[in-house]
Amino acid sequence: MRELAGRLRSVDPDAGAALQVIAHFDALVDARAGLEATVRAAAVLAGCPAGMADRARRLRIRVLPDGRRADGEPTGATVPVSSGREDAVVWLERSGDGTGTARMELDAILVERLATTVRIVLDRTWSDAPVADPASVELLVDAAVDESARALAARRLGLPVDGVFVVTVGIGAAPGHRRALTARLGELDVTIEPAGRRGAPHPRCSAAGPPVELRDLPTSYQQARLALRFTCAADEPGPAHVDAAALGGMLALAEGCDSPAAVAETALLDRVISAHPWALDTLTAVTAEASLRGAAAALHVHHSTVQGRVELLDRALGYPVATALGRTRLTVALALRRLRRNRW
Amino acid sequence: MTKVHPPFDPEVAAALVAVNGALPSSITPDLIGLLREMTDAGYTMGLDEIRRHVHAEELTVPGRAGDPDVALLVLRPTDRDPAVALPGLYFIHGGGMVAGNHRTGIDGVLEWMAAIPMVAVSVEYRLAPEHPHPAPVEDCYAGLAWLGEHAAGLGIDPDRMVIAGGSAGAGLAAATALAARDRGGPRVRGQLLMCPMIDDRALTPSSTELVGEGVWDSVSNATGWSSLLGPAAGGPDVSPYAAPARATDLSGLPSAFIEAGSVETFRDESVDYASRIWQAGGQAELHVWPGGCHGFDGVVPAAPMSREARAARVNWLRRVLAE
Repeated sequence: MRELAGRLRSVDPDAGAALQVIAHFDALVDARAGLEATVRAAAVLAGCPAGMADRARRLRIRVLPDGRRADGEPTGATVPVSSGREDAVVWLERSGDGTGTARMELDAILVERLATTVRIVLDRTWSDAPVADPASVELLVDAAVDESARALAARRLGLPVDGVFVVTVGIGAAPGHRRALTARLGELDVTIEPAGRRGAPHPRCSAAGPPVELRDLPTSYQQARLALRFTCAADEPGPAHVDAAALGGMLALAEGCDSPAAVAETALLDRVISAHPWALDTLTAVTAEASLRGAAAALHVHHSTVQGRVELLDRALGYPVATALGRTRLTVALALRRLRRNRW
Repeated sequence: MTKVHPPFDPEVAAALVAVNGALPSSITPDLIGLLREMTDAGYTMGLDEIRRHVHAEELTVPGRAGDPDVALLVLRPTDRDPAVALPGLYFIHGGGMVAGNHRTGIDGVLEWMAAIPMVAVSVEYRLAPEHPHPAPVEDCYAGLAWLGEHAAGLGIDPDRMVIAGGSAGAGLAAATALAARDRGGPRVRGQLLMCPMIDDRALTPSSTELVGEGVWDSVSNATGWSSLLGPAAGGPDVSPYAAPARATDLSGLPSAFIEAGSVETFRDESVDYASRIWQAGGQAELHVWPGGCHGFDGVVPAAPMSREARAARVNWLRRVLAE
């Protein structure tokens, strides 16, 4: 009977409370407790409602301090279970103002242990990799597909239909490294992820579309594909990853990259680059860095060397590359050259 | 061979970290003082607190021939017409035969009273080792015998009475039921035995499964029984009124509710007692809660399994006490 044992009850913020909380959650992990038991421990120890939600897995658990389950929205702030998993959160619902510093400190420990334990349970019990279903990924980015078919595809992939997503397109990934929410469309690997979740870096070149809701995934995909053309071409210097949102109006250059002006500008650049083996690296560094001194550091050459190269390039191109106007023209010229080379 | 036991329920396992920090799994005779302190401090309500919920009155009734008087705590719902007789529940507290008083474990009794209007009577029996067998069981029987004769005066329907107890209290409840049968005492409808302490012999597998873990391990159990029985514990000459598992005839007993956790010293004794009641033509409801330690519903009161265990008791009481 209970008189022979103790009782799990709410902890007062006194000496030893933090240790008790930590030991309790450690013991839950050791005993392989589930999500509800973990959230219940937080609610009972805190003496106020506690909860967790994982949008991607459509999990929502909320427990009252007496241990009863009462699912619902958090009434206050939530905390991500880890920095890479903004879509999975935990919370305590502490009400009232007279909580005091000691209580707030203990609550912080409780929330941290709850987050850590929930993350461990999620990692153990819910496979992070959904079943590979490239056909559904293709449906999501296809502008010709109607909204209900897109919602169905999202459900098949385990994605929340009311979520916000980022489309990433990449090229040059080894087949074994493709992720589960990835489809190979032509030469490109298209990956859809809930916004806020940090994806694995793409092996060679990649670009991300703007974060969008389900119905705008085709638009985001198109912008990601455009942005990918701004990444470096094979064996050339330049950015390996580009965000469409960061390019802004630069994306419009793609439509003009076959105009006579663009062809002439690219031809001029190619002549100079073929004449001097160091020219492409130097021009790229001059546009990417804030100063010639910065460009020298990036190129691992002496400042005076860059100075000399720039004077030569000014004459070869016919405009001063280190002035404000010259740097802008050169940036556009390099972008046009990448757009004309990267045709996907 | 290495001893194995079922795994603790995860929530129970986590709570046991703090529980065993406060009171060790193995209670040796030198820790009886600590057990008494903790029982009085943590699991015994004060009279004033009890009176916030129900009418509470202390009575002193005669002990068995030549024994000292026995104190009874009589609890009555505040919102009931005293002229209408209610079911009666005779409660025997736990505490390993060595700890507690008639207010120990009353929170559970108040829960039952809140669900089922009834009069509860809790007995304060003398404790071992200062008062070895038969003092505890005779005090319990004397209280029940008095209650049988004075039920009407307490507003109790004498045809609707049950005995209830937990741990040592459940062992004493089973023994009191045996004594009432054998001595022609009050006829009660049921015996509610929560994780009962009924066997001093340590013969079953569960009785030696736990050493240094869980609640009330085999070491604690040996302490309890040797306090009650002295050197006779485990020997050939122990009365079934001390250790009801020793009774060879379990026929003619009131309907039994027997429960235990699957990870406790009393598991197999509990199952065996229920089986033998069935085999003797009696009625029993048996619950073995998976992963539960001794008294798990008190350890993790908020856990779903604890709620279900408490609800099962109330449901059984409701059925057994129905008009």
